[in-house]
Amino acid sequence: MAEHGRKSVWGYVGIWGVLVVLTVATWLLGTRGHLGSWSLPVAMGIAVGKTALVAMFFMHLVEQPGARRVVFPVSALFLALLLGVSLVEAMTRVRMARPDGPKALEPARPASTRTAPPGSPTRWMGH
Amino acid sequence: MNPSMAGSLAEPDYLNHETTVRSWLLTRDHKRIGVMFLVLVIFALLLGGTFAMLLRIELLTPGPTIMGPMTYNRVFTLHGVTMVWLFMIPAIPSAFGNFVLPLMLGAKEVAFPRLNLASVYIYAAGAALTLFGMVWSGADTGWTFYTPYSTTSPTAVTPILLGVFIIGFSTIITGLNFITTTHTLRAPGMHWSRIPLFVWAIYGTSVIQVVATPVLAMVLVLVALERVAGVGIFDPTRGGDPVLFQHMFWFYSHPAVYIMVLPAMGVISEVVCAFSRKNIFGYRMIAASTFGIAFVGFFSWGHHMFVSGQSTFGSGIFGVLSMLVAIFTAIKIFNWVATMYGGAIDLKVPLLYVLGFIFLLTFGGMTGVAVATTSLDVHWHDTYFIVAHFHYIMVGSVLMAFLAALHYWWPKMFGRLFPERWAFVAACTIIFGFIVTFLPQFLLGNMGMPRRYYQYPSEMQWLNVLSTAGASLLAFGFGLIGIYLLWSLRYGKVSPASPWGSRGYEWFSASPPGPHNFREPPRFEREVHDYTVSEAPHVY
Ligand code: HEM
Ligand SMILES: [Cu+2]
Repeated sequence: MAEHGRKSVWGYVGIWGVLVVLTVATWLLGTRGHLGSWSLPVAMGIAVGKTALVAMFFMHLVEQPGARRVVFPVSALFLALLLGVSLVEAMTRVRMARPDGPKALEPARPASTRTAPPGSPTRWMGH
Repeated sequence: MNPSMAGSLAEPDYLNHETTVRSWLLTRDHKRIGVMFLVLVIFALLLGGTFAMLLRIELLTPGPTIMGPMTYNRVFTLHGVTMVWLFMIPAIPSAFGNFVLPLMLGAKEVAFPRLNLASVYIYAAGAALTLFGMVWSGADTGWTFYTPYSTTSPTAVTPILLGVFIIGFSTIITGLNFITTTHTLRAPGMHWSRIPLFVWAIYGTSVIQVVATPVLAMVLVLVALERVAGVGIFDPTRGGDPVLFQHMFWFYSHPAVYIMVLPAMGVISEVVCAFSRKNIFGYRMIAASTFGIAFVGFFSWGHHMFVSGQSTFGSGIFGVLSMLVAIFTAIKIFNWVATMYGGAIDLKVPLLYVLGFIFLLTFGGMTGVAVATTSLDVHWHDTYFIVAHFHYIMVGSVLMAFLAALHYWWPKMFGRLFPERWAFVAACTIIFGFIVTFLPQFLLGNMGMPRRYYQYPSEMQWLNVLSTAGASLLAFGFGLIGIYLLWSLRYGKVSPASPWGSRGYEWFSASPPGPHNFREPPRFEREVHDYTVSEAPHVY
């Protein structure tokens, strides 16, 4: 697709600047932000925004006709479906009915095999 | 020579215009690629069928018959792996899709002919690696590779996983090729509302292939990594979640059942028109329901996980969403039956398979809705009821459609007619053999016989014997088909350009088509399958 006209370089530099700012923002929010359990979703949100910028401008998706532009959001949607539904399922699981067992046996059982109580962050990310 | 044959034998066709081995191995002709895929997938079918017969022989008696438990586990895994990954998924799109899709669109080629050739070799490489794993030590995980067992099993799971991983690339390339071809290479007159339903089916399938296959690739690599490098993703003792595997696996593999069945439905839509001498009833609804199935197919993967520790909330949602598929499937069945209603039915062999398809798909689909009911599935899960459910669809429907396509397009592909009478006998044997094989399995499952066990209580023997007897009939039917088709390649009557009197667009070319499909650019001025005119289609 050679015919998309002369594009000013400054447009790309501007986008690059935005990407740098977002990267710094991610780092600052991660180290000084004290976002607690929100830090992961916020970081992922920024990352998605950055990916979108790269795909749209550096990969020239904005210049494409409709049918081809659809590809990116559709893939993102399917990914969101897979991750979203799997997480909703994991969050709504009931705690195992099996009790943790006699304390004497506990040391033999790796902590990671015990089901953490609902709401505990280890149910998302493991230990 | 009869003048109607002039188009088919007088000029060189795609089979004989070049005959060197090299001209086949390096071909970029979609028709030759289709034929190569056909040979490869039939080989896979034979291999998978051999494993199936071994399983059925083992289950002839309640105790050990011809093999021990470990061998049995390997054999059912190899059966599933071969049938699902090497046969079912590539079969109709790669073999018949490659051959007829460009012809139907009036195109000279697919959009990316070199990639198309690459897809054959990628498939062959993946299949070779899988076969190597089977010979090396087999695998005993089942075709589903469930963790955590698949990460610890001492058998050769890794090469088989990687083989399936590689085959996935072939699937993706084929899908991309078909999507692009449909968008860019349609002949004049072929607007979107005229695209043959087989093309719509392949198009919908291709979308699923492109969107879902990467997830399968990812999950297979993760299992391989966990096996090889000990990364704790699925193994709970290392902080992983085994159910996560099932999420990712079924996110692909449930839509994959539609990768199998949608092309089959496309075949049915073509054959039903050709032998009812009527254009399809409800073209738009059939095309739209293809996308409906492709779409809701992505929202129901959790119905495989009702008893895997999935949350009850998740199970409820997935159960309800799964049932939506039945609506779109019913739309298709209704339209096929309505097409036959009032048509001038010509009960040739392909139509016989179509009748088998419609009957068995209804059975398989309805048991699908039954097992999507959470409370019922607790009883049926992992019993022979499930085995019967999916064999009704995969064998009863998809394989029937494969055979319908094979017979319907055989003269198109090879320019020869097969002996009708033998084909009729084989078709009846296969449909009857199928029912005898799999109907008893519903009863066995309901009695509580678990799947993937090599022994069972002796009061279940008579049903198992019936099932094995049916399987032998099936094998006999397949043998018969193999013999008369090979025979017909040499001795069969030479076929005219359109032996069935079909008006489908693929019959607007010679049979077999020339190397460039058409001598002059075709124009499609009538609706596909327009039987209101009496003259045969013009051969371009
Ligand atoms: C249309 C083509 C279909 C195919 C090729 C197909 C194939 C399969 C396969 C291969 C399995 C077993 C997977 C395993 O090895 O564990 C299965 C299970 C299942 N199918 Fe289907 N199926 C189809 C349609 C349906 C429909 C229409 C429904 C529901 C409306 C359905 C519901 C289910 C459920 C709930 C299970 C899981 C049962 C269990 O494991 O307990 N299927 N199907
Ligand atoms: Cu499913």
